[in-house]
Amino acid sequence: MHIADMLAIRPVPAAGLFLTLTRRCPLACAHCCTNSMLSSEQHSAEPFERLVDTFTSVNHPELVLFTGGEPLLRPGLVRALAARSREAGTVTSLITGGYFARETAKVSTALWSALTGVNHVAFSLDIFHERQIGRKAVFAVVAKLLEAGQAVSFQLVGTGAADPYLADVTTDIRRTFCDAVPALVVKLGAVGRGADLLDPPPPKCPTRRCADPCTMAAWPTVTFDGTVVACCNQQVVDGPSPPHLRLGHTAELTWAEIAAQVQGNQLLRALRVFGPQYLVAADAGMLPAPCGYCESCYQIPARPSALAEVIRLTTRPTFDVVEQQAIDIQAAAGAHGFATTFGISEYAHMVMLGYSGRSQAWPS
Amino acid sequence: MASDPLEELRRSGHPVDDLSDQEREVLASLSEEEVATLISIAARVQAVKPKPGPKPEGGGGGGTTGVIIF
Repeated sequence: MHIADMLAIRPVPAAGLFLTLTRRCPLACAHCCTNSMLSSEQHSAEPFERLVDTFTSVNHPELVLFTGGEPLLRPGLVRALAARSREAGTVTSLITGGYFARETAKVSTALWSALTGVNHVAFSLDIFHERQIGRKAVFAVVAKLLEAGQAVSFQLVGTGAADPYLADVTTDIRRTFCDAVPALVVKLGAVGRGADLLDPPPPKCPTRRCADPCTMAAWPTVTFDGTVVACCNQQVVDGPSPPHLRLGHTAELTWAEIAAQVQGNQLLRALRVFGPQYLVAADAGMLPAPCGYCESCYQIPARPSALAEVIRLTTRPTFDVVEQQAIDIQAAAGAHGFATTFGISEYAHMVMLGYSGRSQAWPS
Repeated sequence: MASDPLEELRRSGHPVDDLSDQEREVLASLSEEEVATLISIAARVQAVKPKPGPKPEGGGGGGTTGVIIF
């Protein structure tokens, strides 16, 4: 499963599901967006197992992504959830900091089984990770996985297109793996411990009202304790989430119910077509909308005019067509479009390395 | 309704002529606001294709904060 296939369906509502299996991580990266430590919260496996057990052959996400913290602190859970997902027809991916690469020769059987039990493994790699785990050690594990036929990618973080670290590491990846291993290159964010390294960027303030769809409201996230939210923004995941983005808890929801909410909720549909600033700007005299994209979303529940705007926009007889066209237009941009919008655009081409067409592992 | 939704969408690069007659009929009934919405989204997509030129204002989720990126 190539990362390009996963990113290409990112705008499709409920096509994917994030499972944040633990906040714990044995590393202590200075930029960690989840503030993870080895002593961080970790709940029982039950909320995740219960939800995946509700996947059926006719109603399941196309893709489940295991994240954290460090999901490979729970290799048995990763392996079990991946196997159960596969039975329903869902493909799986995990992102890891590669803590086990410290001792390359000693990747345990349990870890190896988890690494090869999913359809894709993404390795976080950046200057902060490299202070704890050498690049060569990570590359050695990646090479082993490639030999075993596993699909692998890197998620690289840097300060921007001019970051010399990114120039160095992308050159190294291309040379070492002969352009066969892709990378999603993203910008360091002022989130979690990253907020200690950077000042928050100035909020983006539109000067006119125009649609700016929210892709992040397409795939739900199961948070560390089993709460299900409609968005993967770290602040929403950390909670408390705003009421319009909280879908419930896995103790009370099946996948079919979550998917139905994500696909059918009028506010979420409006967010995915028009974006939060468009809705909030419905307030008389509020053009431009209050600054900040996600900040605007947080304001929606307190703004009756925004909620009225959701009703006005989504009850038009043509809204279904507009919504589908909006999804199709964004999906047509594919993985490269996603990497350009959400990553460092100068490195967007890296996401297509090694891509030779849609994976056979993907459900038909 | 927009003055000529199909023509406006076609001018913005929307593949109107690749659609079925039924789909074109529905698009022809879109309001000005709906047409403007699709044109705005298409402009963002065009702007992120690999070619020189400025990005449009905003940037969708690109303006978000604290995102699990994919």
